[in-house]
Amino acid sequence: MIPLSWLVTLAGLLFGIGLLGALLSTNAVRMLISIELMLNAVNINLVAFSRYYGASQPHGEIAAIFAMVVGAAEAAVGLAIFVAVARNSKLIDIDKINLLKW
Amino acid sequence: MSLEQLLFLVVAAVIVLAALGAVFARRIMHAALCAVVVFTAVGGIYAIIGSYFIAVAQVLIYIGAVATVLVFAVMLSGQKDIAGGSPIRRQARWKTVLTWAAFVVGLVMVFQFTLNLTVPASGPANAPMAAESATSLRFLGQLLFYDYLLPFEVISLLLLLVLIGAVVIARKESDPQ
Amino acid sequence: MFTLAWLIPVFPALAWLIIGLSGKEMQNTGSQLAIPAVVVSLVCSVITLVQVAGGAQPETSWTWLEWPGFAISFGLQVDPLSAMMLVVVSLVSTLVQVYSLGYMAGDGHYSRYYANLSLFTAAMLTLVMADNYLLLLMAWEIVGLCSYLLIGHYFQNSGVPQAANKAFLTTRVGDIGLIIALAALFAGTGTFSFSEVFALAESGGIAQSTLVWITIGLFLGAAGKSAQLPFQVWLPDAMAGPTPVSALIHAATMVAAGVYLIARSLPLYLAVPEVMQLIAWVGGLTALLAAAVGLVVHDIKKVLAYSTISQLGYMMLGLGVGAYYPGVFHLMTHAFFKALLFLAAGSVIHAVHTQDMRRMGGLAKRLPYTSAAFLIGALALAGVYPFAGFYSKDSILAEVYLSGHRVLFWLGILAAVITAFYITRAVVLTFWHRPRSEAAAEAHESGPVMTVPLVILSLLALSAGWLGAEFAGNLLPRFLGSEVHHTDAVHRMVTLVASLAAMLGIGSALAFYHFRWFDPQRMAQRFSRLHRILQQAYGFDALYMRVFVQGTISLSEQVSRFDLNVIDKFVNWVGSATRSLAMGIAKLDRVLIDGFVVGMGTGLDLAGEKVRRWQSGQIANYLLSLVWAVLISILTFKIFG
Repeated sequence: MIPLSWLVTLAGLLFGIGLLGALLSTNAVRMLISIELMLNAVNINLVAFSRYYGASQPHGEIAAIFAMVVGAAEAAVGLAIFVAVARNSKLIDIDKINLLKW
Repeated sequence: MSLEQLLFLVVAAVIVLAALGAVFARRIMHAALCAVVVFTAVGGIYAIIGSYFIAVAQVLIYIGAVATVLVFAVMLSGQKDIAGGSPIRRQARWKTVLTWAAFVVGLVMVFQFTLNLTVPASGPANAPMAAESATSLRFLGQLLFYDYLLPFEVISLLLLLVLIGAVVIARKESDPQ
Repeated sequence: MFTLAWLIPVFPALAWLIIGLSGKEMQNTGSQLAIPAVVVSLVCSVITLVQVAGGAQPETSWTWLEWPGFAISFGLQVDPLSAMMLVVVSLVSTLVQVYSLGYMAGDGHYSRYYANLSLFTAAMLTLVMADNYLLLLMAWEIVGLCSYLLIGHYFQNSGVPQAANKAFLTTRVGDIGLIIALAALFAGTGTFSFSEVFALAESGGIAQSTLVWITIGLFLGAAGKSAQLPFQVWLPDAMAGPTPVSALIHAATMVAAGVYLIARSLPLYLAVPEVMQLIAWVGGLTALLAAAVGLVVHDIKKVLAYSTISQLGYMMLGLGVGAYYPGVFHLMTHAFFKALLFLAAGSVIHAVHTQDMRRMGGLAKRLPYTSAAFLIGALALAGVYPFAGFYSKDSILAEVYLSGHRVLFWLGILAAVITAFYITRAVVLTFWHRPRSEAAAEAHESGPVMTVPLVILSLLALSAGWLGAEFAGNLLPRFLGSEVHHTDAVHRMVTLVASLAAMLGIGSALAFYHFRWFDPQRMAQRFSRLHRILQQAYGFDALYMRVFVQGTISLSEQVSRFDLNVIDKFVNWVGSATRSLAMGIAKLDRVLIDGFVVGMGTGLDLAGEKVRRWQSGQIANYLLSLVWAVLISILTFKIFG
């Protein structure tokens, strides 16, 4: 039997690492990876609470499934954007991509 | 400490290490591979706590789809990695780290809240996992296709949009000729 | 019953409206509309008269104003008195308008003249047909306005606007009495309708004090309109208007409106004998005093004006002793012979271009029709058998004698002597002997448009009296529903005395002016004080000038001083105070509000300049902001949750 706190701690660590990566990374692909890590951390939380609080009503697991789908979609769109940006500007360093600037 | 708990600790350690690798690895390719390890290990965690369907879905989606996409991304963009080697940005580093530290503090606060929760009697501790998983899957199916039918259909539409959108965005613009 | 009565005033009113509104379009053609309109009115009036003689009582009434409890109707009714007045007014108006074709030819304000005459005719016809006091008052004021406008027709000449103002303001004073009477009437009875008011008066339903107010007020209005003492001053000055206007308005019709009002309201007066005494005395004194002034004036129109005042005094005298039929009878005959005299005088003035009798003379040969007409009018006025004035004046004097007012009777006889004297003097001075100026020597008779009305009026002045004569079967008294109750003996005596009086007046005038047995100049010198009093018309004008005009002017000056020193200062002070307050507020506005507004703009501008830096385009920065937002949310939840 695994205590819920272990699972939550694991999710927290994974989220923190993903966040750090997202904040520090200069590479767009790495930022994408970091975001996927954070999504996974969230999914761990969702599934864990769903298991421990409502095994017969697994709303959390449904949410996790939707989150996965959204994550996959996000990865696909992100990839497409990076490919387009890289083709146009030969850059992948997000610090130098400032199309959204004022 | 049960075998189950031991297994959990091992997998958790793998997750943390691989995640750190994904963030700090010098080569972007290595980072992508570390991410694949994390995805797989998270699927293991799901299996350990008895959510087999989610575990399978995790493997299918993340290993089968996301990881592939990530590798594609690396292939298409990052033949040359960052000049200077370090994946970490130099400018505003301290501000970022400070923010991260503050966030960790926030997380600790959330944990405090979480640890005070009591696990109800209906938790997996009181039920044999194998026997229960079949009913769990049935519940999941019922919930997904009755109560969450509309979100389900919407998310399918979202996937279609993403498919088309990704193609449109990534398409090489043909010359006017 | 088919009635044309309500149509009678409509045609002249339409003519007035069209002529008045078309302005320069009808510069010289107003008569082409006005005369047919008045002729149609005359025809309708005659038809109505015949209907009334057949026993009809045409009535038309519209509700004009309505309150809970009572209504004021805009009603017309024709009884014998109205029917007679309708014919007199429309007939004289028609003749005067035709006459004016010649008299006013070439006048610069020809159409305006005809428009005003049409309006006057319409209002006068409405006045005599009104079935209630309120409508009568409205028509009364309109005829007053027309009188003002027509007296002032030659407003470019000096003194004419003043004469018009004098006429208007003097009658206005009387009208105040009329308005008070109407207010008292309404307060006392709650209605304006003649029939209801008279029914109440006969049944004693009106308080005696109210009745006194009503009757005195009505008499004030009537005295103002009919130029009785002490309001007589305006009528001689009104001669500044064109002579046909004098004939129509200031001899035949409008001035008779006062007499008509008293005659109409006689049922009210019968209830207050004291007021009737007052009317009789005022009438008798006016008749005598005005006639006396006629002895000394040299202006032919003024002679006739004073004569008019005097004759109106006769009518008032008759009504004052309760003699309804003789008063009305004299009103009618006077309308004809005085209109005739004025039109004849107008013809003379047209020919010699002066009104001064001292510059006339010998015109009988030059102006045969005019002189014949004037002579007939003069005989009628003097009361010589069988002319119109003889019958009507005699019937008045007989009634006065019968009522027992001996003093008033002898006053009337004396006035008759003087009347005969001054009109004979006018005839002699104007038409007989040698011309006393070149203009008089070279005068020419006017065209037929002027002489035909004179001929018609001459016939009327000759014959109108027969309507009340015994040999004609007492036609008029029976028509008016009034029995003739003087006995033959009294009648014969009065007729004799009055005829002797007329003969005395005519004879002495001939002695003075024709045969020159006595010298008028020497007489004037011997009685110089009396002569001066008469020439100054008893000093009424000077008195009114000193008391009312000067009084008003000095009061105005006081008020003006008050206005300048107090009100203007206050207003100026308010203005400057407001201005300085406004300047203070403006300063406040500039400094505080503008500062605030501009500061807000500037502040937002600066803030925007700073904030836009956050929009760095660096995704990592956005993410950082997001993280902080989450942190703050958690913290908030932790603290307040």
